[in-house]
Amino acid sequence: MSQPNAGPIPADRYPLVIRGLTKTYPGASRPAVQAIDLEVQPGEILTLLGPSGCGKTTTLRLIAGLEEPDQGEIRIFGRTVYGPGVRVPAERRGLGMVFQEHALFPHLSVAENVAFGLHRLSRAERKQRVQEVLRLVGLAGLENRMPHHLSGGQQQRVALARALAPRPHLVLMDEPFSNLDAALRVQMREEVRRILKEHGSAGILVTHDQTDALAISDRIAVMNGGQVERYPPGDLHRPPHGLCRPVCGEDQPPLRRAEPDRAAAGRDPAGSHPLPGNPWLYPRECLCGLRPAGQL
Amino acid sequence: MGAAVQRPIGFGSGDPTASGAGAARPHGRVARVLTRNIWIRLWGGRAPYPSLLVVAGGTALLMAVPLLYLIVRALGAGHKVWADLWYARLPGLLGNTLKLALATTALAACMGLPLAWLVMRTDLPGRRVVRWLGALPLVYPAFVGSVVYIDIFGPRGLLEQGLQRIVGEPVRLPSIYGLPGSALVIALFTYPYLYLLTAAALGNLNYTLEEAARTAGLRGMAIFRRVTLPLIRPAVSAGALMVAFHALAEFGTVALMRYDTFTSAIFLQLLGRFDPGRAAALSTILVALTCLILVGEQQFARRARYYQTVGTWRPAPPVRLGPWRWPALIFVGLVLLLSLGLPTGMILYWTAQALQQGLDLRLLEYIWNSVSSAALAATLATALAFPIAYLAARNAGPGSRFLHLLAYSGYALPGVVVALAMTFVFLRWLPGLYGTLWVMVAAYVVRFMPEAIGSEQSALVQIAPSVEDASRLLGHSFMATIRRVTLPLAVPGLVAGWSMVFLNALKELPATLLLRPVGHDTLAVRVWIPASDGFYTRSGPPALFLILLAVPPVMILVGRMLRERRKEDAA
Repeated sequence: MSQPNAGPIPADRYPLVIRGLTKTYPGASRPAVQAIDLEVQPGEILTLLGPSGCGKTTTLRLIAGLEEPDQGEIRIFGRTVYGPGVRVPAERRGLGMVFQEHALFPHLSVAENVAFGLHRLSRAERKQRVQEVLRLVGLAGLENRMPHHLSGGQQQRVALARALAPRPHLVLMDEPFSNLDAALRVQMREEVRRILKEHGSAGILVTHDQTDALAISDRIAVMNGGQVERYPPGDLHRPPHGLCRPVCGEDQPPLRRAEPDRAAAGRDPAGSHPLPGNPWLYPRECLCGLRPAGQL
Repeated sequence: MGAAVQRPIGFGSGDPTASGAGAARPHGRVARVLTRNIWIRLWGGRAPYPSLLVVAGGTALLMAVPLLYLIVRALGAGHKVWADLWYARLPGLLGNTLKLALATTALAACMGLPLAWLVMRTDLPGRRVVRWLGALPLVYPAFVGSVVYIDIFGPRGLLEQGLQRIVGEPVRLPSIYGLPGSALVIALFTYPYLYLLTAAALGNLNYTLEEAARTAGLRGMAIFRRVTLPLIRPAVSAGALMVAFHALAEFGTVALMRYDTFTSAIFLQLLGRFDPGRAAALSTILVALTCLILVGEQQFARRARYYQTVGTWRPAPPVRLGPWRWPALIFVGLVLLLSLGLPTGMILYWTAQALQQGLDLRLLEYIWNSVSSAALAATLATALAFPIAYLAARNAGPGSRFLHLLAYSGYALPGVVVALAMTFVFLRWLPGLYGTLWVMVAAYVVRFMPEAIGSEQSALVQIAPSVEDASRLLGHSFMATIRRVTLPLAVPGLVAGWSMVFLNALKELPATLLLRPVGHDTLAVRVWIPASDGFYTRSGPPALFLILLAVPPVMILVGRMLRERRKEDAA
């Protein structure tokens, strides 16, 4: 991560800047996404966290260009891909995306899946890049397998490799872990974080699972009712301390328990409702509590 | 930090939310968003790809032209024609046609329903083979079957001759002509529609539901009545309406059996008296009937798809027939004998007799004519159906439903009527093409393209849209995505649609008879011409090749309908 005092990074170096993005599905009574502002910093993994129907997947699809917003502006690395008079189609936004159901091409082998986005490279370059990415995700040697012969975790890796192969600087992930069993899920989120960091890509993850969110992201934006709640204003690099509980359903464990001291710092010990006050989530610190053997 | 805190990454003056650039002409913006919303609501929330929409819209409109122009001509036929028809012909024809549809459907139900249950839910010996054999009568055009039945059971037919030899004096059997013969023959060769849909529904039925009924205290017949039957009822209804639909459209059988229905009356108006206005008036009433039936069929078919189980699924353990297997086997044997054994035997017998008189080499020409025109129609229909099927599968909204409906309008035209409508259309707008192969092929496409739309649509629905999204995100345009992802994955549906159109075009008699170019005889025509003059043996060789060519497409259809669910499906 960048240093806290390095000063503001110029906006055209941000992988993603969103301003006033609004989308109402035809026939819906209220907007799925309402005037949200969002930005992703270079190399950062941002999570959109929220209950189902909160607009997080819509936001992701708007960024990807799979849905068209009603208004607002989307800039990717300083280039406006959606704005007044500008509509760049999905295939020319240069993004990588990992889908919830992996969406592997069932008629193509692992290598062909990964090479699918490399149509502009020469044959030799393509082959080399496929090898490179498959090594990165730990699937070297499985080039000729068909997707339905892979386990869930392997399919997940292929999906990630396919998204990373064209070297996107921003990778979108839509509930990528929801189809994995619990053990694999824990393993995969570590892996995905490592792979993205190794690759140097920024990422946006959409999930309703706060454990996923806390484990993988550098920063979390909580969405609710089509709006980003508790999105930190101010300096992105020096979040205030304190931990609050994102409300994503009552069944999720209150994370404060992981670290009693911080729970005390939170302002609502009863804790089932959004905490007032400073709404910062700072996962790096949560990890201390959640994972005693963690990196911090 | 002040303002910078509120907006850490400012856009400067270009920021729309900051500068209010979007609010400069709020009414224009609102109007634009509203128009766009109305537009994409027509297409299920996603704007369709423009060139795809243009092709689909153009195709759908063209498909609707014959029906619309037929109606125009019928309305223009004049008051006198309508009054005449209304009092003189209509009551009789309507009664006869409805009686035929009802009797055929009832007979087909007597054959198809027990057969479906026996092969799917019991331990009937040889049920795996019977599953396939039960659908095989589809290779026969019904009129070929009626030629066989008339040769055997008709006056001075094989049976009467045989009996005469035994008894020693002329024997008169009850007449096969009229309603009973027509209904029986049509039922024998169309019951597979009912059988296949019912068998597929029974095979898809989730046994867990029946177990749930059992735990709720129901038993035996009560479970069947309250759980199984309601779940398969939409499929059974769709199948029954399919049979009725074919009975209404059937021309060859009723003509040979001398039973007056709409199709034979229209044919007579066309060939005998050439009174196109009157024929058009008669046709619109027949088309109204088929439309009713098709609308019902579509409703039931949709409901049948809803009832198909997704998620956990367990096959039902077969019912043990015990001693009942003997009557069951006799029943199955009888149905297969009448619908498969007898016609096949007779055709082989005719062929053997015809071969004694030497082989007519023009047979090769008939085969080529049949195959080439059916294949051409199938290829055109498969290609033209794709944009419409794609819109229906991916942009399901009022807009795509309307296009779908337009494209289906040819389906409601029985062969005789489609011939009449194509005659009108080509003479009016493309007289230069009238009398060429293209009129015939166009008639096949108009009439059978809905079969291709149906198979392609169900194949496309099964392809997850996210797979196409993934391709877009990897830098491929919409068209490249269709070519590299969608089409390869939809191949089974394309093949099934192609073979359905091929099969139906191969079997189509009246449209071919009325529209073929001079000298362009197909196998169906060459079965018909000698048979309608009573020279049955000469129908043998073309009939044999006709059914042989029909076997592969029928096998593809059956394989798709009765695909066995595997264990993975349950997971």
